[in-house]
Amino acid sequence: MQNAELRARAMRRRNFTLIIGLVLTAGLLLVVVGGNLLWPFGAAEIGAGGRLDSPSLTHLFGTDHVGRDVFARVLDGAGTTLLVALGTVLIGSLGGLLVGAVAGYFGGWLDEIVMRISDGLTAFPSVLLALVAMSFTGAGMWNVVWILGLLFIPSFARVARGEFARCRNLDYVKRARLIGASHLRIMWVHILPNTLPVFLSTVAIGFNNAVLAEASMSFLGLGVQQPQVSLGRMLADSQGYLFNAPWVAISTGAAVVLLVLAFSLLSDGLQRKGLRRIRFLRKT
Amino acid sequence: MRYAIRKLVTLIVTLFAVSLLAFLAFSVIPGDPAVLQLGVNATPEALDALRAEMGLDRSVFVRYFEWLGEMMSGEMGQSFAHGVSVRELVGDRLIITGSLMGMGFLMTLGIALPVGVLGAGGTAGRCEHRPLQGILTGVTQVMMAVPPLFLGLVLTFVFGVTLRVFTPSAFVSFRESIGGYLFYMLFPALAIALPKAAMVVRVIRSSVRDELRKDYVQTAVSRGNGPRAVLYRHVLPNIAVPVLTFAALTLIMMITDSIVVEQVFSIPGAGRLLVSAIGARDYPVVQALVVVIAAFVMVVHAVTDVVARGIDRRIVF
Amino acid sequence: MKRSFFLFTLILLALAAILGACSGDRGGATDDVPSVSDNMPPVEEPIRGGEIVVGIAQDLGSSLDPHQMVAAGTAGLREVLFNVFEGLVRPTPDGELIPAVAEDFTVDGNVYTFTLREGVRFHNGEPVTVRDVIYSIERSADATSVSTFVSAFSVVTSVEALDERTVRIEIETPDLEFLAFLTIAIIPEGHDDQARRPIGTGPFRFVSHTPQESLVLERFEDYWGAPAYLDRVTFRIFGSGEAMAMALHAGAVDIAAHLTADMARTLPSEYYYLAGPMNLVQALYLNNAVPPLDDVRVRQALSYAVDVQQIMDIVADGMGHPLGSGVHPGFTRYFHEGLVGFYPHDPDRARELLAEAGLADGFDLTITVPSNYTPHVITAEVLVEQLRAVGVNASIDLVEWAWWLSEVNNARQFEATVIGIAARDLTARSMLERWVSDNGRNFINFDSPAYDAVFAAAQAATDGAEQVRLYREAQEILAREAASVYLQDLTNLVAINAQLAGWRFYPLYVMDLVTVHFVG
Repeated sequence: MQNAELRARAMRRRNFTLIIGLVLTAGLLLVVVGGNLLWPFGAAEIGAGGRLDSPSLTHLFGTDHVGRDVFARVLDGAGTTLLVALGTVLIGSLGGLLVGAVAGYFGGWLDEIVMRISDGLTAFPSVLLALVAMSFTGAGMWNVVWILGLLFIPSFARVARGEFARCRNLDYVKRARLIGASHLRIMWVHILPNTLPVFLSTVAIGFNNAVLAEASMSFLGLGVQQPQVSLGRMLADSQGYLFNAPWVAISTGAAVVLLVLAFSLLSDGLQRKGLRRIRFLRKT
Repeated sequence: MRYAIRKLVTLIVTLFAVSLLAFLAFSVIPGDPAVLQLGVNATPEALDALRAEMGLDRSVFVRYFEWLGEMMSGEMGQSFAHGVSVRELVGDRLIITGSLMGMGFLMTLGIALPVGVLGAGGTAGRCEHRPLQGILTGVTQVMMAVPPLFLGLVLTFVFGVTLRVFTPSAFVSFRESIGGYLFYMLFPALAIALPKAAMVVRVIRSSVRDELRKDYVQTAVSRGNGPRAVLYRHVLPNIAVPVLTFAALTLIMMITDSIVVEQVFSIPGAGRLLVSAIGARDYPVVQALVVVIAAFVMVVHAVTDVVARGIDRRIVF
Repeated sequence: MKRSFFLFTLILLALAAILGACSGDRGGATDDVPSVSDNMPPVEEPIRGGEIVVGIAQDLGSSLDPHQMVAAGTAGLREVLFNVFEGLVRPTPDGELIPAVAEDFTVDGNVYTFTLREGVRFHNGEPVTVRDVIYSIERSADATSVSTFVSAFSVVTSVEALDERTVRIEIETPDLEFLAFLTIAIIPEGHDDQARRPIGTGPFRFVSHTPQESLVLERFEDYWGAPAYLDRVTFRIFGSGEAMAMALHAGAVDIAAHLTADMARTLPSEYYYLAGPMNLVQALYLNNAVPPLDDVRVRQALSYAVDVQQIMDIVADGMGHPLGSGVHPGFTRYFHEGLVGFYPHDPDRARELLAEAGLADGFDLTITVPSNYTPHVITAEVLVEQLRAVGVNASIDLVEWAWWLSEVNNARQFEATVIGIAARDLTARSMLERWVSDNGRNFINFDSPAYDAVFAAAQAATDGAEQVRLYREAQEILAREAASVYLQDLTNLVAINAQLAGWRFYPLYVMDLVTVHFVG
C-alpha cells in the first residue's frame, strides 16, 4: 500500500481538483459578468445579425432564428442560471443549516421528525417535485427559485445535522457547555466554523444541482419564462434548427456543461479539503 | 424474510399516506375546473351540472375514497383536458418510459461495472496505469457534468444528423416493430446512461480506494495474497452493497432524465404526458402519475434495502 | 488531476472544431430568399396507393365530434377532420360552395331544398338517408346538446323530409350566409360515439387516435366521388414546432405545414415547399376589460408600437399579408384592404398616446402564448422587443394549448395573447360574430354598442352589396377601437416530400389530402 500512501501524501501537498474548480468557476464568473458588460450585442437585440448566421468573429457563436447574437444570449442565459442557482442555494442552505443545526444539536424527537420528513422528500428527485409544484404556481423565474430552494432544504439539513451531531460530542464543545456557554453561542461560535468545509462542499454541489435543474425545467417550458433568457429554453428552441444551425445547440449546451463541471470540481475539491481536515483532527 | 414482510407493510402504509397527501394537495388548488371548461358565459345550472359530473360537489373524503378505488382498479381517474380516463390516456406510456429507464439502467451497469472494476484493478495493482487512471478520472468528471438533455441533442446531431444512423423524431412503437423500437430507444437510453455510468464508476473507484485503506486488506496482503486476489475476493464483495445502493439511486434519478429525454427524442412516454398535464393543469393526470412515480420510488428503495441486507448477511469475514 | 485539465481543454478544442466545421456549411444563405423553393412539385403520372406521415404540432384535444370541435377553437382538429366529414355542400379551393352529400339544391328565399346524392355511404357502410341529414341539422341546432353551431342554426324553423331523397329546410328570414353553414358534417343517426370514433362520409375513414401521439386515417373505398389516392395517412402529433421541424429534416415526415421560413428554407432535396395563405387573423389579442387595456388610447398606442413588417421578415422572409382588422384576405368579398396600415409603425405616436393615457412611464404586460406553434412564439418574442421600445415592459407566458383554451379562451384570465383566429366557413359572420359584446366566444371582452348594432344590421341585410358594406363598417370599428393589435395572415409554408404532388391551398384553415398522391 505504499503507492496509496505516496499518492495521499502527494495529494496533501496540492489539491488540484480544488484549484481547477476555483479557477474555472472564477473564470466563468468573470466571462459572464465581463461579457454581459462589454460584449457589443445585447441578448435581446433582434437583427444584431442575419438569421441563423454561422459563427464568425463578429458573432462568436453565430446568431439564432430571430437574428440575435448567440454569444450574448449564452452570457445572459448563464447569468440567469447563476442567479437562479444563487437564490436557490441561498434559500436551501440557510434553511437547511437552521433546521439541521437544531435537529443535530438537540437530537431527540425533534431530530427524528425532521429527518423522517427530509428522508421522505429526498427520496424523490427534486426536479420532479419542482415540476409538479409548477402546476400550482405556474412557471417563472422567481417561482423556480423559491420552489427549488425549499426542495433543496432537506439535503442541506441532512449534512448540517450530521456535522452538528458529530461536533456536539467533541470534548471542547462539552467543555464550553460546562463553563456555561449558551446553546446559541456554542452552535454559532464553536460548531459552525467546524462544519464549514463540509458544508461549503455541499453548497457547491447545490449550485451544480441548481444549474441542472433550472436548465431541465426551462427546457421543458416549466422554468424561466421569456423575455428572460435561459440556457434551457435556448436548447429547446435550438432543436428545430439542429440541422441547419447546430452551433446554437452546441454552444448553449457547452455553457451548461462548463458551469456544471466548474461547480462539481469545486465541490470535490472542497470535500477533499474537508475530509483531510477531519482526518487530521482525528489523528491529533 | 421477516424483514422483507415488515418492509412490505411499511411500504403499503406509506403509499396510502402519500396518496392521501397528493389528493389533498390537488383538491385545495385555486380555480374552478368547471369554469375553465365551460367559459365565463356558462349558465350557473350548466356549471353545477358539470361540477356534479366531475364529482366536485361531494366532500373531499368521499372523493378520496372513490379516487382510491379508481386508482386500484387501474382507471386512475378522469382527465380534465381529454375527457377520458387516465388509464386510457396513459396507454402504453408507462411501458415506454419503464423500458427507457430499464434500458438506461442496464446500460449504466453495463458500462460502469466493467470500467469501474478495471479501473479499480489499476488502483489495486502495483503497476498503476497512471496516465490511464488520469484519463478515466477526467472522462468521468466531464461526463457527469453533461446533462442528458444536451447529451440527447449531441447524440441526435452526431448519429441522427451527421452519420444518419437513426432518424431523429421518428419514434417507432413497439407494437409496430420491437426491433425498430429497441433500436430507436438505444439513443435516448444512452443519453440517460452515460452521465449516470460516470457517477457509478466514480463511486466504485472511491469505495475501492477507501476499502484499500482498511486494516483487513493490509492483513490479507501480509498473508501473501496478491493484490488482484485481494481485490476480487475481499474488496469487491465488500463494496457491492454501497455500489448497488447507489446504482438503485441512479434508477430514481433517471425518472427526471427520462422526462427530459422523451422531449428531446419525441418519445410518447409518461414523462411527456406528465409535462403536458402539468402545463395544462390537468390535475387528475398529474395526481395519478405522481402516485405511480411515488410507488415506483418507494419500491426501488424497499427492494434495495432488502437486497442489501441479504447480501450483507451472506458475507461473513 | 493535471490530466483531467488537459482532457478538458481537448474537449473544448473539439467543440470549437465542430463549431468551425458547421460554419463552413452554409455561408450567406440568408441572402437568397426564394418565394417558393427551387424544387417544384413533380409532374409525373399520379399513382394510387402509398402511406404518408403528416406532421402536426397541435394536440387534438378531447373530442373528435365534428359538431363540437369548434367550441374548443381547435382549428388544428378541423384541419385534420376536413378529410373525414362532409356537409350537404362543401367548399372548393376557390372558395365556392359545391354540392357534396347533396347532389343538387335550390334556394327560394328562406326555403332550401336539397336532393341527396345517390349512393353516398357512411364509413360504417350504411347509406346516407334523409333521416341522417335531419338528425345532423337538428343536433347542430339543439341548444341543450354539445353543439357549437347553435347560434348559426337558431334561425332554422323546420327541417323535414319531402321524400326519401329530398330535405326541405326553412329558416326565419332569408339569410345570405346560411348556405355556408350547411358545410357542417352529416353524421349517421344513432351513432353516439362521434367523440371517440368519428363516422362521416368523407374520402378518408377514421382508424385510430392516440392522444398526443397520432391520428390515423384510411382511404374510404366506397366514397361517392373521386377516391383518394393514398391508402393511409398518419397524422403524427409533435409536442412543439421545433420537434416537428427536426423530424422533417430527418425525413420522418412527408408533409408538414405551418413552418417558419428558417425551417423550410434549408430542407434537404427530398422535399419541396409551397407557400400559401394560412387563412387566419394573427393578432396580439388584448383583453379589453382589464386596465390599462380598457383605455382605447392604450390599445391604439400598442398598435402604433408594432412593426408588422419586421415580424413578417423574421417569421417568413417577408411573406404574409398584413392586416388592419379582423378579417383575412381569403374572404375576397368582405376583406377591407383599406384598413391595412391603419396604424403605421410610429413609436413616437405610441409614446404620445401612452402619455395621454397617463402611462408615460409605460406599464407591465403579460402576453400568454401557446407554446406549440413556433410562428406565434417567435412573433411574441419580436413583439416584446418592439413594445419595449415604447416603454411597455412585456413578458411572455408560454403555456400548453389545453391551458390556453381553459384560461384564455374560456375563463378570460389574461392580458394579451398572440394567436391566429381561423374561420370555420366562408361567411364574414364566422369571423366577426364573436366580437359582439355578449357572444360566448368574445374572449377579448370587446364591448362596443356601435359594433353590435352594425353587426346586427349586417346579419339582417337582404341585399348582398349592403351586407358587404356593413361588414366592412364592422371591420372599421374594430380597427378604430383597436380591439386588438392586428398583425397578419401568416404565410403557410408547407414542406412536401418530393415524390408527392397534388397539394391544394384553400381559403380556409383546412388540409385537403384527397388529391395528394405519389408519382410514378
